[in-house]
Amino acid sequence: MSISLLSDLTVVDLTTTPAGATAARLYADLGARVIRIEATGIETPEDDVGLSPEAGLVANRSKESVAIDFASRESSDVLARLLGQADLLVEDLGAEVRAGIGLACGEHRAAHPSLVHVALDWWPESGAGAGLPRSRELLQATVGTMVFDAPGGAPRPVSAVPVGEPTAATFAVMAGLSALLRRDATGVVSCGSTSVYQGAIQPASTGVVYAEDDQEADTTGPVARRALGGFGPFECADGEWVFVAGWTDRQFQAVCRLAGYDHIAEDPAYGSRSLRQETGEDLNAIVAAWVSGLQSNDLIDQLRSARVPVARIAQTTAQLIHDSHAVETGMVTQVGNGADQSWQIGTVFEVAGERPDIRPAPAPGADSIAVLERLGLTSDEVSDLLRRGVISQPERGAR
Amino acid sequence: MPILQQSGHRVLEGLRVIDYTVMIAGSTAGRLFAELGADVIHVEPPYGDDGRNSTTKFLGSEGTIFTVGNRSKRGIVIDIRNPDGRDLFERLVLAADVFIENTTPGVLEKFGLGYEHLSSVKPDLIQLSVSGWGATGPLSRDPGYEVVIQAYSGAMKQDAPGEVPRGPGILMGDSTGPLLGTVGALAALRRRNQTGEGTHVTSSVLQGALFQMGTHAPLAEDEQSTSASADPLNAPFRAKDGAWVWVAAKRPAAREALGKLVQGQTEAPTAEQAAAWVSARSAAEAVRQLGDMGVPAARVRAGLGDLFRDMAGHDELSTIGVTHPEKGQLWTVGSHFEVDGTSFASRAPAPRLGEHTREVLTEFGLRADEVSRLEESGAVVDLRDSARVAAG
Repeated sequence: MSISLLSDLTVVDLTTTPAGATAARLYADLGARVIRIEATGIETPEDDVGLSPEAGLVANRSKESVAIDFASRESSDVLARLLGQADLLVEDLGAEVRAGIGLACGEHRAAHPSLVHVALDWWPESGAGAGLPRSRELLQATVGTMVFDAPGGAPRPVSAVPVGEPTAATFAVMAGLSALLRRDATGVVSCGSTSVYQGAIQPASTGVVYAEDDQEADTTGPVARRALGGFGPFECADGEWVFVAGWTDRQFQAVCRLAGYDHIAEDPAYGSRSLRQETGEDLNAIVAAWVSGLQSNDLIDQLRSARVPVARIAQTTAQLIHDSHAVETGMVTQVGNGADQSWQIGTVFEVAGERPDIRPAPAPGADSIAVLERLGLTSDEVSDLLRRGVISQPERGAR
Repeated sequence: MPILQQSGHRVLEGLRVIDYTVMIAGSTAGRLFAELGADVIHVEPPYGDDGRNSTTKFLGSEGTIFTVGNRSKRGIVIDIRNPDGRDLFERLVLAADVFIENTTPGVLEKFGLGYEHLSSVKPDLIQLSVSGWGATGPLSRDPGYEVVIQAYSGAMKQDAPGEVPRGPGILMGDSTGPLLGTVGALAALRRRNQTGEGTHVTSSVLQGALFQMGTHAPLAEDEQSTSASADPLNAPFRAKDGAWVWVAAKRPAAREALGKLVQGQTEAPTAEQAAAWVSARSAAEAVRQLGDMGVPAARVRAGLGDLFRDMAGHDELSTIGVTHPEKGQLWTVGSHFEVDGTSFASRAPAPRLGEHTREVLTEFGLRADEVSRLEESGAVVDLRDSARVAAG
């Protein structure tokens, strides 16, 4: 069994970036048939934010693939056939390319009156960043997510995670589902839009409030964070680092008791988070001394038993390949077979306990013939399109 | 019963959501439902959501985590540890369309409020659960926080062997887990509209973090840590006014243009020459001149508050304002997406503790004397009493 919530939907994926392709994949995770168009003959920006083959292995899984050469005149007919039987189009082509192939929002509504269209651009059409080229660094500079390691120091981009792109993918799916709910309820067909810029704001927005008369708001530069006692990364006797999160009063007290400092646990001088911040470094020196005498497994077992949030600090995400929780839950999973097999992040949600049906990303154009025949084209028509290079399909087994 | 002032499309208008969440991971999902037009009722314990209690200088006893995550909702207080409170809570959930919660798996079952029970009474209920570690697996019943899950998922890095590991500087799972859950719940809602069947959607902070970490490539055991740009002309430069400007002269055309601007010739300048040029003018002037020459550049904002200050009042994709009952106009995260160019964001502030308790319970059919009895037993708290409870 797998998730089949959207099994009545066909989605056409005309995307060229990780964010766009990931949005389309989420529809596939929910059970929709997703037909990815590998487009040649379309001018996309020469930059480093396009979909790499590696990223495609993750973002394009569970889809079918049709390769279309948009430089050919007949490509628009093939696209129209595909869109004619689709419920939803997801694309990230940008305003200029979109208009160039007749896909400006609303422009194709007469031909496809029930098609919901979702556009995911890098920057919105107006506001901060509008007019700038696609760039991960300029995105972070504009939004304010760069890290200042020290007051007065130079900023550096967050590099451990792709800021904005995964989040924007979820927004594109929400826009599409909202528009589908609206279509189902009212018959009104809509265009949804979002941007990686909006996706970049969301992860940074928790707890950020700006008020004109907030005299203490710091919008001029970074502020050094104060340590919180019983909360932080600590090095164990075996050289492993473990994050101990004694956040609540109870959790902090549990850490103290395990470390043999019952009097600190009971001392009202440390009875709240704000008090534990005042003495954070001193408290953490005590915790560090305790932790440094323990093996990491022992420390983790003790803290888990006391219901203190704790985790070993993994050097890489790939270490989770050997982690029973990550593998048992399907959050990390093997995709594909033989030489094409890879470990990937797996299920991102479950429905009634079921996980998405995860199939390997197809080779570009792997399903061109089958998809077009399913649309009603005869074998002769498909062969003619192949011969004239309008569509292509690799030899079986090629990637 | 329009309580909140809302703008934009309201595709979920008429939908009632019970939101039993704390802190970030669940409250964001409830906010999204509210901003799509649903009537979202945030249920807090008498001592308040822990996000509310994370005090801040400006808002005092209302933590900004709460302010952001719970805007556009109504708020009531029910103590589910009180038998009457527990029964009332069940009554509200069974009268709702969607139930959103972020308790640790197993906790609601202890109160007889697990999905199995609720769905046996109300088969068309959609429940969204956003836990820390996931609905199943060896760690599922452990407490989970964002930082711990960053550590577990490989997001914390050491700059050098022996150095203290540090996080990526941005929220991952707390932010993304509820978004993935909302995606699933919206799809479930569409299916319910077609079939009348409810379901249980689960996601987690860990799944959100892994979604962030693993989108751009398969997992490779010989994975190298990513590092910041090593291109000296795709780098930050300090301007005369102390602000930083990120110059992204990656492409040959941009390097030539930068050369023209900095040294009057098309040869790409050195980083030192670019730094000297930027340092001789304000950030705004440098960005303007660079832009005029076709060199991509942007001022490096010091934080999201900096962006909100710049965009307040004229860019709803960046920030929208809500009127706080005590502090006046506050600016928080803007619209996440638009449909036909219209944003979904609404403009109601996060509720005060117990602000809508009486109002909501009356709407759910309780008589005034029943509400009073519940208040007397401590099963519910209304705003008028919440200050006393908080003080106590």
